[in-house]
Amino acid sequence: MTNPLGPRPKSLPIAPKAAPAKRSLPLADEVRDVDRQWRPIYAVWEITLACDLACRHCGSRAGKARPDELTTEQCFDLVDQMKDLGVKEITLIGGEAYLRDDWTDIVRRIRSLGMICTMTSGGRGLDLERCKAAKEAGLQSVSISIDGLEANHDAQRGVDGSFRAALQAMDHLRAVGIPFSANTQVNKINMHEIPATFDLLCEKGIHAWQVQLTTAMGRAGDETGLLLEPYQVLDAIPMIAALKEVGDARKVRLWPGNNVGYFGPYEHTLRGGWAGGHRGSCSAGRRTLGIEADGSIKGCPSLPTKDYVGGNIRDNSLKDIWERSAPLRFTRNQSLDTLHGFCRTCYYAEECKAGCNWTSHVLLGKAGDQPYCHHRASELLREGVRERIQKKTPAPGEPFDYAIFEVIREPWPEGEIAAARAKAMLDPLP
Amino acid sequence: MSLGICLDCRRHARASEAACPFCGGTVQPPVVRRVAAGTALTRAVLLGATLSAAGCDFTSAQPVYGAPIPADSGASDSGADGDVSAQPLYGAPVLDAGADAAMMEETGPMADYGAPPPPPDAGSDAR
Repeated sequence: MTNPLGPRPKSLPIAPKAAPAKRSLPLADEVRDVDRQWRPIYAVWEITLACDLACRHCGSRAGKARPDELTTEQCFDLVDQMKDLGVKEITLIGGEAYLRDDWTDIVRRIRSLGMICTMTSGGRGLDLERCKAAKEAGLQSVSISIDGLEANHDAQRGVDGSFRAALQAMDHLRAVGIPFSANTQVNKINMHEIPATFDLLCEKGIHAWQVQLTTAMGRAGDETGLLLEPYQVLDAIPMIAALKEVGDARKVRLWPGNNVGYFGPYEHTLRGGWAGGHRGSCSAGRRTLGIEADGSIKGCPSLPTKDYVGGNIRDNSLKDIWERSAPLRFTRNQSLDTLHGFCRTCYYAEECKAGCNWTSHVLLGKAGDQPYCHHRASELLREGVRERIQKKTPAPGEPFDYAIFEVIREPWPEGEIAAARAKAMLDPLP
Repeated sequence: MSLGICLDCRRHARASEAACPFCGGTVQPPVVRRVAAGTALTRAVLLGATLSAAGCDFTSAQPVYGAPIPADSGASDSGADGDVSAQPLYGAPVLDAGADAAMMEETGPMADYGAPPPPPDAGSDAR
């Protein structure tokens, strides 16, 4: 069967060895009131970068463990510090978290302190024995990554048989009594089969489904055929909103990821049930904490290492890094002045602040302007234009790296604009 | 900025708008929602819609994102400017009481990032 992604780019190693952690990073002398007022309630923790898959879209280029991953005792200490800082919930990720021998000990430690513990996994090696150990340790839910139907999933995961293994992992989780959800990326090659994928996952018994757009970091940035064009959110967001209603009827919660949005006609459908009724601005360094396996601390696990690591827990306490490092403070410091391009003058600028900082930074080299936005694409469509991306500079080939793209604004092709406007429920152009 | 919702096109619009800037429809202001004093600030409470299930008596205001912010801190976030005790949480009003209320009961906590939290009966004791 033809690989829908085509051959893997050969210019970069599939699983490069990560550089050692950045150490002795500077911290501000003073703690401001705003730094004390924000506390993380949710942490996502990459406990190892080792992985048993070779996903074509992996942002962290996972495969080999980092050279200096935390010891078990250091992990336990970090768990204790997270508890002290106010974290309520921790999701373990990798690479593949279960490839650490002490992964269930970490789960047990988290649970012993009363924090919620979940895991995200590709599922390839999540056999019954591992699931039993996870259950015994207190793991409360696992999100299995599914990127489409079988052929598409295997192509994106880079391993034939990974789809069947992932579904089998769900069976094992069910057998031991661990609830499971799923997470799916939406991109150019799988968008057409997302509804069928969701249907299959509902049949498998997921309790929730997280959906997000494939983001141009790591290997995903190497794959020119994978990333949606910004104007394609005009198709993607209504589709996801329609599936939200399907999920409601089937009692499966749909979780729109942070780069699914923003403030278009479907925001109410996607997030109307939130206490705020809509998405707010990025919570990295305010309510969210990200940890790399070598003890590097970020405001969000997805953010690129180069620009957003604020410190290392081998050098400073978690509290000190959280409160006093510039990279952890950046959303506390965000204002309209940190926005640029379309987002600077957007109607929703104050609320949204350019959406997911990860998505925009790894695309354009800096945050503050967000092409993947339904409101933006709709407004541009009103004007008869659309945006697409074009790579300018390739990524260097390190974990959490990114290429640099530029956004090209162009007129909608004459043969397509009428249909696009009709679909977006805009009046036809005169 | 406080966002309401247009009763016609269902897009979010500033509560101060005389009419929806996108379709000209009526903008319904956001409802005031408060979190009961002492409620643990988990994702379930801050991001989700479990307030009614928790039987909150709405005695004190909390911002949707972030810790309570004193009026003079200079820090701001959506829905958390100024006097915390009187500050409404922004949010879509219950337009269709039955459907929206049911949806809010069903959807529960929402992910700011990462995997959805476990279902309520998954042995959680941290909320």
